[in-house]
Amino acid sequence: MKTPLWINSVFLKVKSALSFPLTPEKYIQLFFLIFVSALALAAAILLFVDPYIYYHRSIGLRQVYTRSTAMIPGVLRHFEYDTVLFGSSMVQNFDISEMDKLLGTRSVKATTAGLTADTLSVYFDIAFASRGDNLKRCIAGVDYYAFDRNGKKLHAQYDYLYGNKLFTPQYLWSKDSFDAVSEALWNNISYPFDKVAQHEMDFNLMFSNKPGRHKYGRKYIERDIRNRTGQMIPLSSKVRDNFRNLLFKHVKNHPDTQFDIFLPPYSIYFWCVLDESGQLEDYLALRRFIVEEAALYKNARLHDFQTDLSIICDLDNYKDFSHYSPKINSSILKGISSNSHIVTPQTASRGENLIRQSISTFRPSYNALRRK
Amino acid sequence: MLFCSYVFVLLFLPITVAGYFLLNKISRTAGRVWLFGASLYFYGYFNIYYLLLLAFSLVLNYSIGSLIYSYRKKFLLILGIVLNIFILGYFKYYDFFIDTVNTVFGTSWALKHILLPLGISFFTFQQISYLSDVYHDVLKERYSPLTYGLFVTFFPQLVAGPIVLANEMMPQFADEKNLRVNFSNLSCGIFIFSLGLAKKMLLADAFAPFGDSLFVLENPCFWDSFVGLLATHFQVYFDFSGYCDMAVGIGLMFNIHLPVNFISPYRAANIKEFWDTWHITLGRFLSQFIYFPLGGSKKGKFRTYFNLMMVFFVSGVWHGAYWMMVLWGVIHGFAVVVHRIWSKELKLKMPRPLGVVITFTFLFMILAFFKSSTWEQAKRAYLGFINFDPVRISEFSRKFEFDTFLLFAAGFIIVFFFKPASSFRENFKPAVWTLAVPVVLIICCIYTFNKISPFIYFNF
Repeated sequence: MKTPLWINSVFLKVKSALSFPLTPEKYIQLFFLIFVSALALAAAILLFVDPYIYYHRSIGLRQVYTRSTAMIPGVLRHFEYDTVLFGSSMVQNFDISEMDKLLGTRSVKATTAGLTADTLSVYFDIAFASRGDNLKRCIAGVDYYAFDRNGKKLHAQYDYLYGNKLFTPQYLWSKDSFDAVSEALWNNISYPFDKVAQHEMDFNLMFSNKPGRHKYGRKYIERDIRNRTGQMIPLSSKVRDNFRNLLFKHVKNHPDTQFDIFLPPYSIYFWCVLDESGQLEDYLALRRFIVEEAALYKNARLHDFQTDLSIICDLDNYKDFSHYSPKINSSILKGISSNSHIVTPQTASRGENLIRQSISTFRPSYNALRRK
Repeated sequence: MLFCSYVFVLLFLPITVAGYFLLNKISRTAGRVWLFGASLYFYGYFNIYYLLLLAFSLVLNYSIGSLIYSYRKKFLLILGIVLNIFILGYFKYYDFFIDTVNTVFGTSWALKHILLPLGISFFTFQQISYLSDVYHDVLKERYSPLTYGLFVTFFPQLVAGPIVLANEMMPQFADEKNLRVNFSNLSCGIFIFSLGLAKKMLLADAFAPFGDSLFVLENPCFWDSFVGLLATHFQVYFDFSGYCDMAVGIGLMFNIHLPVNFISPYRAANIKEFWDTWHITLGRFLSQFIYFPLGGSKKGKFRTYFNLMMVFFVSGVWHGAYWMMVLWGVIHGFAVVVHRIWSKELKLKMPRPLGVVITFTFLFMILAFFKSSTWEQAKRAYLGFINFDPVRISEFSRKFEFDTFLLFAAGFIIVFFFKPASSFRENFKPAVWTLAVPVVLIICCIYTFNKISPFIYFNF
């Protein structure tokens, strides 16, 4: 079959255009002109959209709150707030509007899945450097795992966003930034008809999980327990130092800021897993340590939701052995607001006993799941 | 400083090139001092302490070279070679030697964990070639310390080759014609540099996850081993040849013709042809300093086979301070000997396409030794072949998608059908398409710079 004449003609024209000769001098001039212009244009677009809030808050576009590890420094530097909520995936789903209403605060979130204590400490530094005395309150959900990962920075990939450099080529010209700009522009276009975009651009739900992403209920946590393999990794010898140097250091250094530290309500099966792997007493000892450390500071209150049996023993609250549903976030906020779950060295042992008793109660059902 | 970094592409390279030619207008020495200083800065950017060793090596070798010029004594040449080998041996092979002694004799001597200075194998070999050229009166004139310094430290080839010879480089640095900007060379250099950069950032780094994963899988299936080794092949080739292309391109920007290191090696129809087209400058060096001094092919066939084995034994040792690499070298030596017997003694011929397939398959099968530092690691890579079961698909293999297939297809097409990037040096014509290609490729590559991506041959 012969190629149609018009295709031949177009092909020859394109070939002729591409083969058009240039003098070497012209080549060099055009190369630098096009190359520099393309980079400048790309940088200009990036600077305008600034998806990671590195230089400024959104101008003329709705802000997308998705890539938490990249965005948190920007949020802490460029937003107005007097309270920050810090934490890992255990704390992601808090609603800022609910928090502000209950606690009378003006807050932002610095929450990201897999948060390590090293990165948490950096977030504290950025927040205090940015707000100084205006940072009245820090609410931090303490995830044991975060403090057990020695020296690991969650934000290593985005290290360039955590400094103060004016010129950051890794941000101006990288595939990651390109994707973030594309996402921001697309979300702005699709906002009127895309519920996911609306969620991702909701300030009050910043960095929280997409609606419907996770399912909570007894059958999900039971499936998680049945499928668990391997042992829980023993706590490292440095975990107490990490608490002192990466959390309580900031409590000590900022006596005028109120620190509400809360122990998130892992499910009762979490404690059964620890019991099964012979580490229960280590974790309970760590709890006691945290309680005793918090008691040293007048500006620290420790809220213990780990021994709230109404939460931890209701398996329908969980999707796996540690992550609770968003409705529990509301309970936690109410508890912090009313100081109903404050724990002190004097009351700590009561909580431990509750955990031990609950383990005994749930051990048969836990063992039955493990046998399947 | 890596070629594939923002600071190199956006700052160091344009400033160095511009500064070189602008200063050459003022004085030829100023430009060359600028280039020498830039090269030292480039090297010291990795680790400032490396500069101390480099400076010591430069002073030592230039001094011995000066003595050889004056006295022409063979023992000075031998002294120079021995000192260079000693320095290389200490930094690169001390722990290897101690570890081997401990294993064989049951001792427990302490390892020093000496940090290997980048490029030490390359600049050591280059300076040995200089001493040899001085002794054998190959260099027609006595070059200044600055020219010598440029020959050794010229940054495009300093850390990973190509291994250049004094007689091919020093005249170029001394040639007045090369001090003026040549837009033809500059444009061709940019073009070749962009091809090399794309080979590294867009191809080698795309293959890397498949190749690297194979060596950590506990129980790879047949497809893991097959795809993993193939990916390792392409990764090593595109990584190293990409680096060499970038070096050639950058050299050309300065009007310096660096030797080519790769000429479509996978199109080779036999192992000898492969080594004539793969890491050409290493083969040239080993021929000149190992093969020919041992007698080459002039002392009978068994001595020839021994000489060939020695060349590849040394090649294996040079590539890495561990026994897997030595084994890899020895296997190659054995293959070259077999080929020699096949072609020269038995005078057998093979159809070229069959030869290409057999050669590629051989290279494919032994590559695990190149990538592994221990026998267990190599064995694990081959497990998929050992436990032959093409029906089993592992968790890792399940992740292979259509774009994985496209990536490998692109690898095959480029390796077997594209002409080498460095071949454009001979017949480059500035045109719209040769302008569009580097603009697009360099910008695409810049967008991948925020990932950490070291070159494989930096380990040598």
